[in-house]
Amino acid sequence: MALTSKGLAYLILAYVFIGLALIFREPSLTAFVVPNAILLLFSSRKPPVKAPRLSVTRRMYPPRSFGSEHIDVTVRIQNDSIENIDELQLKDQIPESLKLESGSEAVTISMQPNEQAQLWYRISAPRRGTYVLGPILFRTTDIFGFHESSGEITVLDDVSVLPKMEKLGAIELRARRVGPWPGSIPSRKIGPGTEFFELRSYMPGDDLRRINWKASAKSGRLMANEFEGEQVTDVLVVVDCSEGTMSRLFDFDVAELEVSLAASLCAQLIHQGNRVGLSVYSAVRTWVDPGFGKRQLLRLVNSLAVVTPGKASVPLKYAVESVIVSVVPARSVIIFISPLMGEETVDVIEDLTTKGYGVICFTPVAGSRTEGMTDSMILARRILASERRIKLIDVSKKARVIEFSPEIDVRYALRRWRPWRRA
Amino acid sequence: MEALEKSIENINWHWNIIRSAHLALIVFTFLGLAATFPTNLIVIAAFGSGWGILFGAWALLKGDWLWSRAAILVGGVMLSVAVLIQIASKTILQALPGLLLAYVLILFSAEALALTRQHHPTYSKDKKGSQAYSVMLQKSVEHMTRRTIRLASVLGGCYVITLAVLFLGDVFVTALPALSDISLYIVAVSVSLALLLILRED
Repeated sequence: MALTSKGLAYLILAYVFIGLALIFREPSLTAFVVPNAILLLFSSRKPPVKAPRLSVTRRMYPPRSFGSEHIDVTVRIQNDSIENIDELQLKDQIPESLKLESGSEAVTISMQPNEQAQLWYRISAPRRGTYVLGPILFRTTDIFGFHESSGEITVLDDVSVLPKMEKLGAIELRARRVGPWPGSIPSRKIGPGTEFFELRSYMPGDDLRRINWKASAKSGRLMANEFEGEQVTDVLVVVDCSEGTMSRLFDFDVAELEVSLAASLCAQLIHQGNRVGLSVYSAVRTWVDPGFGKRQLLRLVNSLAVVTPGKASVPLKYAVESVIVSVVPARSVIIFISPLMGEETVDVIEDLTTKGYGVICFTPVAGSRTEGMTDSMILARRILASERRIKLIDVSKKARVIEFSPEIDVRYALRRWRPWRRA
Repeated sequence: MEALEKSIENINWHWNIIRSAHLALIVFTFLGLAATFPTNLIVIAAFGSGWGILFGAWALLKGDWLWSRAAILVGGVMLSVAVLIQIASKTILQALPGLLLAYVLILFSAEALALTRQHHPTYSKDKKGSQAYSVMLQKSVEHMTRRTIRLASVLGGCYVITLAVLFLGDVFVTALPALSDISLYIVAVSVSLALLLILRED
C-alpha cells in the first residue's frame, strides 16, 4: 500500500535533516531523523489499511419538502468487517444548492466490528427542484495518516423540494362541459346540487324536503324543487415558462411565481374534485395527463418542482394544437399562466376559445422600476410594456384575465373575479 | 427535548475542553521554541511565537486548513532559525534535547490541528438536533480524546527513544572514542529503515 502525501512529507523531512547534517557536517542533526523514522516504522508495522466493509442506509423525513420545510436526514452505517476501524472519515455528498441547517454531513469516528453509527443532519432548499443526496465518501487511515484507503459508497436518494402551495379557497369555474362525477361546477342540468333550477310537480317517492310549499299553495297542487346538478370538469393548467418569463419587464422572478401559482391552483382544483392535467412549456416540455386525486396532485407538483425556464424547443402553437386539443375534451377549462410575451400566445388563446375551451389567463403584472437603466433601456421597456398591454386587451376579449404579482393576493383576485355568465 | 439540548451542550463543552488542550499544546510548543533562541534574539522569538500562537488559535477556532498550515509554517521557520543559530554558535549538542522536544511538539501540534480540522464540521453552532446527532457527537468526542492520547503517547515515546539513542551514542563515544561519529550509524540506520519501508511498500 502506497504512502499518502503526508507519509511522503515525513519521509522527505527525514532526508532533509540527513542532507542538512551532511551539508553542515553536523552529525547531531541526524537525531531529528529518529522521530520520523520511528513513526514511519510504527506505521509500516501495522497491518495494511483495508477498504472497510460498510453497509449504509439513508432515511429522510419528510421524503419531500414543500417550500421552506426542513428535511432531516439520517445515515446509518454498520461495520460489517471483523476488524476494528481506527480512523473512519465519512462524508455524505450534498448538492451545493442545499443548505445545511444543523447537524453534520461529515464525521470522523472509530468503529468496532458490527458497530453501528449514524450521521444526522437537517437540510433546507432555497429553491424547488429534485436533488440527489450521495454518494457517501469514506476514508480510513492508520493513526498518523501515512496509509489510507478511500472510496465511495453508492447510496443515492432523491430529495424533492416542491413549489410552495397557498390555500386559494374555492375557485368558481363555469365549464361548458362537465364530467359525470359529482363536483362543485354547476352543470346546467337537473341533478344533485344546492342551486335552485326549476319547479315541477311532486311525484310519489320524492323527498318531502324538496316540496316547495309556497309554490304548492299558489298552484293548488304539490310542487317540488329541482336543483342544478354540480359536477366536475376537466381542467388543464398550461404554464408558459419560456423565454418571456426572463424578461426585464417584470420586477420579480416570474417563473417561480408562475410555478407556485400553478401548484396552488392544481391543489385547489384537485381538492374540488376536478380532473386536472398539466402542460409546462419551457426548456423541457412537461405533460401530465388529466387525473383525479392526491396521487395526481403529487404527480403535478413533482412535475412543477423540476420546471426550468428557458427557450422552448417547439412553438407554443404546435404544442397546443398537437397535444392539448387531442387529449383534453373540447369545452373543458384551460388555465393559461403566461407572461403574454410570446408572439403567438394571443393566437393560441384565440384558437382555444374558438375550439370551445373556456380559457382563464393568469398573467403577471409588469414592473415599473427603472433604477440602473439607461434612457434607451427605459424606452425599450415602455415599448415592450405597450405591446404587452395590447396583447392583454386582445386576450381579455376572448378569455378571463387575472393579473398577479407578489404584492397581489391571488385569493382576493379570485374572489373579485366572477365566472362568465351562464349560457 | 431539554435533556437532548443539555446533552449536546455537554458534548460541545467537552469539544471546547479538547480544543483548549490543543491550544495549550500550541502555546507550549511556541514558548518551547522561543526558549531555544539565545537571549539576544528573544524579541524575534517572541514575535514569531506570538504569530504562531495567533494563527494556531484562529485555526482551532475556525477549523481552518490555511491557518493551521500558517501556524505550522511559523513553527518550522522558527525551528530552522534556532537550529542554524545553534550550529553557528557550535552549541547544538547542548541545545539538542530542547530542539528535539520543540520538533516533536511541532509534529504533535500539526497532528492536533489536523484532528481539530477533521472534527470541526461535525460541531454545529445550533444546539438543536436529534438523538442521532447527540450520539454522533459523543462518538466524535470519544474519537478525538482517544486519538489525542494516542498521539501524545506515540510522540512522547519518539522523544524518549531519540534521547535514549543520543545517550547511547554518548556512552559509545566514551567507551570507544573511535565511534565518536555516531551520526554515521544514525544515518545508516535511518536510511536503511526508510529503504526497508519503501521496499515493503512495493
